[in-house]
Order: sequence, then structure tokens, then C-alpha cells
Amino acid sequence: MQKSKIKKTDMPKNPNVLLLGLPGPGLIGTMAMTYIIHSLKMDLIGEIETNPASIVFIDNGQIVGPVRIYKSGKIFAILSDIPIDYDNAVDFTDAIVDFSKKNNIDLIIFTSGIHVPDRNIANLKTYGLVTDEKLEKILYDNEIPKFLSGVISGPDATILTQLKSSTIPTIALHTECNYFFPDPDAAMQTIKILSHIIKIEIDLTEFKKQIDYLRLQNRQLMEETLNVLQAQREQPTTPPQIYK
Amino acid sequence: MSDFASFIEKQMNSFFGDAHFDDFIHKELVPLSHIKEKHSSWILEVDLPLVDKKNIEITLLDEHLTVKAKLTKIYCISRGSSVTEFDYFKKTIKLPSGINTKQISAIFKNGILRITMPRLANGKKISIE
Repeated sequence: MQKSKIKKTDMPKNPNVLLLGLPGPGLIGTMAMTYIIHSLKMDLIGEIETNPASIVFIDNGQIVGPVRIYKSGKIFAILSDIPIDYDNAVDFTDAIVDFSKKNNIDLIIFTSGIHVPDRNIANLKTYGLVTDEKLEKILYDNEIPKFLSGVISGPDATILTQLKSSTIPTIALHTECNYFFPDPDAAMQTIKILSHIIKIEIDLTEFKKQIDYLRLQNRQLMEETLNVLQAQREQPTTPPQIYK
Repeated sequence: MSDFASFIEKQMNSFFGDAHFDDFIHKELVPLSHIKEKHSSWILEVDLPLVDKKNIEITLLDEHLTVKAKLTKIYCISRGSSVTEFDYFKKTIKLPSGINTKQISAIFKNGILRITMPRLANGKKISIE
């Protein structure tokens, strides 16, 4: 068995950071990234091609794809408005790694959620996973507990595996959430953690006012995301012969 | 409407304007729901944002459970130049078989309605020879 090694790379003092927000459990990544892009007034600088594109976004009369890239200063963000299914996860991650190399990204931060049915909404926890030993200091400095044991499945697993084997240091943040319904509280917790890491204050007043509406407006995307996650769970799992 | 709210609405309407759930069929919002089996019960959860507990109505008819909940504020969805107003959620769910309907209970917390439906304990006993 190949031994897993954690890498050691020096992190610049003022790194170029790429934030990733994709539809997943509780739609945490999508809601958090949408708000950050809005709050930091990030500029739309490009998109990641999805083939074939099933939907397009119209912005100021221009057609753009559902997976878009934004930038403000040294912060980049990739926001997807469609769930990334298993078949596209590898190509999608390759595109992210390629973009990161071309744009001298020093750190990727991937945001997602883990299902905790009896979580304390007033005190949600975010757990961190790193692909590079140097990044553990970031977790420590920001009081983010390490994700010590458990299972990550679906597109998250594929994306993280690909990112781990790339040369770009990555932190994965998993916040306790409701897996099945849009969870703005968990998204808000993720924004707080990201705000500490990137050292940019993000005012959550507007987000708090919209919590109920975010749950209403994201029903369709939540259902589509669950269909993708569920399809992967139900992929051929031939029972062992003994149970037939 | 705030900047962020209009930003979100514009985004959602662009992507899902033509397929916004089945809301437009009966002009009622369809809530998200999830059912799971836990121990000897089925647990049905229904996501009901913008709802007060006192405005939720749960009815059981034959094998169907209907949840209807009035919103605290009218919710509008715009499609092109037309705006549709919604003031309640409604969803009817076919229940799994073998439920003890006399023991169904419900709680409402953080905008999520949780209905616990115990299964009937009337299985046939099998003796061991």
C-alpha cells in the first residue's frame, strides 16, 4: 500500500487565495460564496466551461456559464450554480488546478458541510482538513479543529482527492449542517471562518436578514444537489454473495 | 429589497425561473421534505421557513399526510414582467405502510417541522424449533 505523505510548502505572508463554493450538503458553499462575492464586490473575470452547459446565466445582457470565477485583490472565488456530479468532478478539479497554476494561487480553500442532525445552531463547528503540513498553523491560529475521523463522500471526495494530489496547498472546511435542507446558519458560520482566514471583515447583517428567504429561494438547487448526491450513493453496490 | 436579496433573486430566477419547483401549478409553495427510518419509527422533516408554529396544519387522510402552513409574509416570485404572490406552503405525502396513526406526533423547531410516525408493532412471532 502506498504511504500517504503530507506535503510541506512555505506559505507567503500575503497569499493569493482561491475560495471554492459548490452546491453540496446544506448548500453551504454556494450560499457562503455568493455572499462573499457580493460583500467584497468581486469582479467576474471568467468562467469554467461545463460541457454541455445545461443552463446559462445572463448578466448585464451577457451570457455566462454556471461556474464562474470572481476576483478582488488577492482573493479569487469560484462559484458554481449547478451541482458537480461524479462524471464531471475530475475534469472540474483539473480545470481548477490549471487555473490556480496560471494565476499563482498559493492556497485553495474548499467549503462544504457535514450532516450533524443534533447540532447546536448557536454554536456550529467547522472542521478543517489540510493537504500541506504548513497549513495546520492556519487551522491552529483560527481555532479550527482538525477533521480527525469520518467519511467524506460524493463529489467532495473526488475533488479533495484530486486537489490533494496537485501541488496547490488546500484547506477543506466542513461545517456542521442540515444535509437535506438549505442551511444558511451553517453558511454564515463558514463565512465567519473564511473571513478570519483571509483577514477581511465581512459584515453579516444583510445575510442574517435574508436567512428565511435563502431557504425558500434555494429549494430547487437543494433538490437538484440531493439528486446528484443520491445518484452517487445508489451507484451499483452489488451486495456480497452471502446476502443474495 | 436589499442588494443581496435582489442579487440572489436575479440569480435564482435566471437559473430556475422556468422550473421553480411546482409552485406555479397550484400557486402554492412546495416545501422541501425528507423522510428517514429511525429505530421503530419513520421521521418526516419538512422545511418551513417564514412560518409560525400556530399557522401549521397537519391532516391525515387515508394514507396521505398533508402539511399546510401560512407564511408570515407574502413571498413573491417574478418571472419576466409578471409577479406571483404566495402566502402558504402545501405538500401532501404518501405515508409508508404499517404506521400507527394514533401515535403520530410533531414538533416545530428552527423552522423545521419534524413528524414522528411509529410503526405498528403487529409482526408475526416466529418460534425457534
